[in-house]
Parts: sequence; C-alpha cells; structure tokens
Amino acid sequence: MNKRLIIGGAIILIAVLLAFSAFKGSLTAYVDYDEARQLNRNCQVMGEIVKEHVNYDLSSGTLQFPITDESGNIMQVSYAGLVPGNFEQASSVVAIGRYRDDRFEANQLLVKCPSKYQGLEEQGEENPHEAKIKTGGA
Amino acid sequence: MWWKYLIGLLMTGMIIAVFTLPPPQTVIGDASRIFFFHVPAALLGFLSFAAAAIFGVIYLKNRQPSADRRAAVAAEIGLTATVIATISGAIFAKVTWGAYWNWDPRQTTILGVLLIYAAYFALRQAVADRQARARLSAVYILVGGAIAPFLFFVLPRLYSSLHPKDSLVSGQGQFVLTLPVALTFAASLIAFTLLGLWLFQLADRAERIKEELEIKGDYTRLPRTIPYWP
Repeated sequence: MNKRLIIGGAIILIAVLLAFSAFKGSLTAYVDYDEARQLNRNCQVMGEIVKEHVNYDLSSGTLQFPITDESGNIMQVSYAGLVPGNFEQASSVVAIGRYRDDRFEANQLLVKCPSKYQGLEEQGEENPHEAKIKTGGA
Repeated sequence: MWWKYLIGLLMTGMIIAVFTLPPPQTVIGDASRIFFFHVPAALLGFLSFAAAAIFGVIYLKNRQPSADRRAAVAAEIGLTATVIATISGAIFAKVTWGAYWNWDPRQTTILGVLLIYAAYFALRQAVADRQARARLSAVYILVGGAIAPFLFFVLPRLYSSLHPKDSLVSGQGQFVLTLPVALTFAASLIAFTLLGLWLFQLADRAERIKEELEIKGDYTRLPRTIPYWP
C-alpha cells in the first residue's frame, strides 16, 4: 500500500471523527429531560407515552400524560391544543414547548406511529395493549 | 437497450401495484404509499454517491477525464434523488408526525448529505483548470463517499428519532412485509435504480458531447435547435 494514501486516509478519518464528536449534540433537536427543565426557552423532548396515565383534564382542557425515556426518566407533559388524530396509536411522542411549573407545557405534539405495511390490521381489529384516553375531572 | 423497455414495464407495473396491492395503513391511510417512492429515492441517492466515489478512485488511478466526468454525473443524479427523498420525507413527516421539519436526527443528517454534495458542485465551479478541478473533486468525492454511509445509515440509528426503523425488519429481526407488498417494494427499488442508471448513461453522453465540442472549439456542429450562449 502507498504510504501517502495511508497517512492521508488516517488524517481524513481523524478529521471526520473529530467533526462527529463536536456535532454529536447538535445532530438531534431532542434534549434530555434534565436539560429541558433547565432551559428557559422552547425545546423538543421525546419519550414513550405511559398509556395508563393518559388523562384528559376537562376543567383546564388539557391532555396530561407522562413520558419516559430509554433510561427510565419521567417527564409530565401537558398539552392544550388539538389532540393529533393518531395520538391513540402513537408509541412515542415529541413534545415541543417549554418546562414551566413542574411540567412540560407543550404547544405542539409530534407522534411516532408504528409503521405497518404488512396489511395485518384490518378494520375492527384493535390492539389490546392500547389504553383509551380516559376523561376525568381536575 | 432491452432493459430500457424493462424500466417502462417495471415502472408502470410498480405504480399500479403501489396504488392497488397494499391496503391503506390503519393510521395514516393512503399516505403510506409515499413509502414506495421515498425509500427507493433515498437508496438511489446513496448508490449514486457510492458510484461517484468509485469514479473518483478510478480518476485518481488513471487520470482519465472520462472518470472525472462520470463522478460528477453520478453525484448530480445522487443529489437529485436525495432532494426527492428529502422532500417526500418532509411530506411523509407532515402526515405521520405532524410537522414538515422539526430537526429530527434523520432530517439533520440528510441535510448534511445535501450540503456535502452541493459543496462538491461549488468546488467544481470554483476551479478553472481542468486537471486541477478533476484531481480536487476526485479527492473530495472520495471523502464524501466515506462520510455518506454514516449520515445515511449509522448516525440516525444512534439517536432516538421519529423516523421508523422497523418498516422492513421488526425489532425481533423478522421480515414484516407480506409477499405482495414485498414484491411491490422490490419492484420500486429495482425500477428506481435502473432509471438512475439510464439517467446516468444519458447525462454522461450529453456531457461527453459538450466536452468534445468545447475542446475542438467547433460550435458550428451544434444543432440549431439547441440554444447556445457564447
């Protein structure tokens, strides 16, 4: 092998690795929950919906639910806007908003839906693992 | 020649199949069919960038202008296909997630790819000397080709993302498509790739003719119907 080629390749590899490590945090718009609590501005948090604790608060007109991340941290989210049509099928959500008074006040919800191209889900078939949104008072 | 007829047949059959065979998805309904155009476009983008990098290596080995020209043509097709994948992805995101663009890791990395290859054409424009341009672009496209797989496949999987990872193979490693859907998907991948190949052939020929005319300085041979600015 050509010596110059190896050295050149090594330099490129190191440069690329350095660039990646520098941009690691900027490659994703989603911040972790601790960071979201500190940030005094709009940000995005992502997590799995805790289906058992989804609650629609009629008095304030907000959807309340906790989300958890991969390491088990929990963040309480409240959302006052129009609930996305596919929220019930969603496994994870991205909440866009800011942390205020012990909870993340979202002004937009993005939902992650299971992608199904196999056509197994026919009309009327329901997933038993999905809880319906419960409605309750304050 | 025969394979160009095959593209026509495959493309037609594939488009009909996309709108008839897979049942609409439970959640997003008919919009799920974007999948059969979005994924092949992204694949064609990646394959073209890989081809461009290979032509870059060939140029550095034999210093033939043809290799430089083919690298540029492949990168051009790759950039076009990636733009199509990005736009169809944004529309797909609007339908499934609820926003066209929210800086999901998948979106950030594909933007990185677009910027890398857009800069390639800026570089080509900036160097006037033919040989210097060819040499510099060959090295650049090679570095781009080394980074592209990470941006396309590795990095988006390292972060949590709204982009699905399990549309083809489930978390348990099982292939999830039923046979008709799998066939439709395979046809769309092959049709897009062959179309890219044909585009490559055409664009390469057009570039070669342009180069030959430029070298000879014989613009009189250009047909009248092609507009020409000196």
